[in-house]
Amino acid sequence: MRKAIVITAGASIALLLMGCTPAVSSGGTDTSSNVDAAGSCPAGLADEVAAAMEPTELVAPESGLDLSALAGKSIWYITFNQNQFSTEMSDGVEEAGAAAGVDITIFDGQNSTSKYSEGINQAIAQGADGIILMAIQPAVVSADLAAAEAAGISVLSTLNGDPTEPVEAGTFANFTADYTADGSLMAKWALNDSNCTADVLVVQSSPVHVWDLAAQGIEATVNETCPEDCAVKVLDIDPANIATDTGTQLQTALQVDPGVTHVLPVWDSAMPYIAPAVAAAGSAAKVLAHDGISASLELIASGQDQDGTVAMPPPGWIGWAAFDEVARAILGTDSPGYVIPTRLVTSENVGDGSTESVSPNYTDYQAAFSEAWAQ
Amino acid sequence: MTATITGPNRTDPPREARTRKRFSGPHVLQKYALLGILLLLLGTFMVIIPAFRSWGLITSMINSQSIILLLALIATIVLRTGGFDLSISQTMVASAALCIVLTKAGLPLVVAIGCSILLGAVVGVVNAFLIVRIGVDSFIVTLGSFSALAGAAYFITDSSIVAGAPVELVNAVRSQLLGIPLVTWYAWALAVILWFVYQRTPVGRYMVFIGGNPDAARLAGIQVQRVRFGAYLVSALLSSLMGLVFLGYFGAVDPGVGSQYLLQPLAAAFLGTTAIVVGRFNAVGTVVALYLLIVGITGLQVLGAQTWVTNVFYGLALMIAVTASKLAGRKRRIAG
Repeated sequence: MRKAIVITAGASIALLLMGCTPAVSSGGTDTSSNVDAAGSCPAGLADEVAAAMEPTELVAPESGLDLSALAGKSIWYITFNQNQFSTEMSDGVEEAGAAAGVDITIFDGQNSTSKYSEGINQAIAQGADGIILMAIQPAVVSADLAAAEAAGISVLSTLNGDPTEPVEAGTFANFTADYTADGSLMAKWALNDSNCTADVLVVQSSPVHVWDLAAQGIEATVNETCPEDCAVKVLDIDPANIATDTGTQLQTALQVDPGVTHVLPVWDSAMPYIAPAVAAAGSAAKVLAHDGISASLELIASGQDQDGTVAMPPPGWIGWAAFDEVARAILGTDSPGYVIPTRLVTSENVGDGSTESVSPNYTDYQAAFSEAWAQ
Repeated sequence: MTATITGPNRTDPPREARTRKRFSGPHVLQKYALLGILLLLLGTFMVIIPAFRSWGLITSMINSQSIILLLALIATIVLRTGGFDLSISQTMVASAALCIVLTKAGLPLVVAIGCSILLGAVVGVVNAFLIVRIGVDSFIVTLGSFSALAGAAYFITDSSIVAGAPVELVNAVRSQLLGIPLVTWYAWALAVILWFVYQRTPVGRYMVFIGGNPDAARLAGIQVQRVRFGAYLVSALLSSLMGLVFLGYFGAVDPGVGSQYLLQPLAAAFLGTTAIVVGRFNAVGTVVALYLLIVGITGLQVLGAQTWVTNVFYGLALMIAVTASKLAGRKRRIAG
């Protein structure tokens, strides 16, 4: 009986596999969705992409700061979790705090809403004057933010949504990049790179709001700019399983559609999971991500795995700017309304991947802040 | 003086009856049900989804689970002795972090690898000492190790993603043999080795006895403490080797990913107890279980299911399979 089962199963497998065809793994340009191999892009697209590759101007304060009034104040930096970006940003906040004589407390939210709540309540209990929320959606801690507001604490939301979105209750401003516009830029790069014949695969995790905005920006731009000759699909990964599922789902997607020409993960930290999946699938798709972390800039500079990124200025600068926002709010002055600028970085303009190459106007942002504060 | 000659115990079932029972329909069905479901699911998807008839998709499904499979197989070692080792994934990440940081600091790769393995040895000895010698619950100790190693990984990498793994490691993992990456071959090799140890060696049987009843095993003359100590040590050493595989596969280390590799390998190991050697943690069953899950999830993904659907599938498959195995085992015991 047992032998019969095994033999039958084996014969079934053999019959099924006889119908297997080898995966198309050579290159990414032979796409089933792009009928017109000689597509053309709208006028001006190349110029837009070229303009986005120029170095961004330094964003710095334009008015002074009463450091004597700030001395002895306390600001808490509550981050959604500890990663390279949030750590470098917190370093910037601490540096700025030291320069201004303000006490800084770093609190790791460990990807847990209960920890975010704990951090805010601790800040309230310990008499904080300001809070910087790093990539934490204010809505999930609305009750705690209401308590913070009642306690007179100025709360800045950072990297949560687009600058144009309404300021959420309990916060006084949203300091962020324009993720929708950055997504649109990523799409334009892919379209320009492919002469508008791109088959784009976006990798995102929709519970992370800014990633969802970027993904929407990519989709909208591809569909508006190249509705006939291009295609766009979105891979939505569960944020709790990014490490285990990204590679698996991406490999599957690339096997199902070997014609994908561009893979666009909306965050640089995904690259360790993206690169092996693209290689294992035998895909020649180009990869462009977002954020501009140093590990990705090194990859781009070395010509390995990653073709580009939409880079923000150094995270340390973001920390200083966030501190400046909160400091002014504590002193009762108007919010400067900073928006994080971004630059499209590829092998053409990455140089050696250093700050000097990628963000040349940000090599000494600390001095720019200090000089402005002293006015 | 009278000699008493005793014949066979008339209460023992005859050899033929035991053999008939072992190959009886219900028994075979229970052993191979999961494998049958896997083949049925694969066949069904091949019929309804053209992409599933691609050898590339089949291999990509298999390859994508190699890291999880390796971790799941390692997990079965301690599970088989009745304990838990929750520190496997973090040992892997910390080991990978140590290796890449040391190589980027200029140390020879051999030295970095040695340090990573030494880390695994230290973790294994500490776990084993606290659990086996002192008697602290394995869940608590290894959860503590997990947490400490997570912090260590952040410390080693300065809370950064560290890219630029040595090319020798990358080649040792990503190079292909017969069109399949070496990482997958490593997973299959470990499955074969563990199958042999579990099914063909005394220590494999001792592990089961200890896992079932350590006191009875001790009374039977089995060196319970030695076997358990060895299990935790081997588990940690293999986990540190896994760190090198992990590093070679991804080419970089994100210190925060250890927690994401905690549950899936354990789930696969538990699901594997419903196949091949039902009721026991076993290597082949783990392989079958993991591949069943990935076939199901991939099929759903290709059909366009949302992410939450695959999570539901994963959870339901685990609950149904383990429950069915429990019920089948109970029925078998009643039937005697």
